[in-house]
Amino acid sequence: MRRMYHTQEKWAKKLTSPIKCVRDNAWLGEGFYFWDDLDFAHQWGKSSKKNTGEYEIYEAEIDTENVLNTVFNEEHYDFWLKQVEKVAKKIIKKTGTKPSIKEINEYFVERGEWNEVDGIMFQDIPMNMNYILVQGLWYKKRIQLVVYNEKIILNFSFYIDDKC
Amino acid sequence: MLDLKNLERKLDSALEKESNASLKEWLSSKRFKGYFGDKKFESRTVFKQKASFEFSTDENNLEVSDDRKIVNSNISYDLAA
Repeated sequence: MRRMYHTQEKWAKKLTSPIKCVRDNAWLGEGFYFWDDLDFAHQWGKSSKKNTGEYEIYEAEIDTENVLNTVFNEEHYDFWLKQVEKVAKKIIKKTGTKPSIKEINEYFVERGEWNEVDGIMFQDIPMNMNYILVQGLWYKKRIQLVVYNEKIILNFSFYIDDKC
Repeated sequence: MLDLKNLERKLDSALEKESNASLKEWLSSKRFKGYFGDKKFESRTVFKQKASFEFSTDENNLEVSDDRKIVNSNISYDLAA
């Protein structure tokens, strides 16, 4: 189990379950997105959930048993890296264009039929010095989880709200 | 616990079956269907210009009425949550 955070705009009613991201530019494809670190959950609220001027953060317990954990599981990371490059090379060779990480992940799920993978945990570079206390070193992983199987999201509840 | 060998086997099998056409078709549906339905899109911009877009696997053109044109531009992807 892993405690993670889900950020949304603040509306009149509190959420009872997370909102599925179906945007075409969703980073890791269609699914329920969670942050590992509360700071980045706040950052996302302030930068991207501004429609109502306030945002809410929800917390949940995530059953990560069948999550591809490319951040903390070395075997999963090595495996995922190999598969990403394998699919990317094929797409570049066949189409002459580089795929996005979203397309790679959707290829895994749809064409590779990775139905047993409940989600993917991934990190990138924070690029915001407000959350970094050491000059010039991005030491803090910005970790996100995309959940494809809603059943692994447990005890979803309101945590905190704030202004953008 | 995930069976990584089985995941790799299924992925390799899918990749083996791909032809140029099948992969291009899948990719084009991923990239543009969500935005443009049947690969065509027409709308007004905030400057009241008429903007139209038609996707093909060879060249992607975005036409705007005052002769501005973006050819094969990359579409950016955001973090999402």
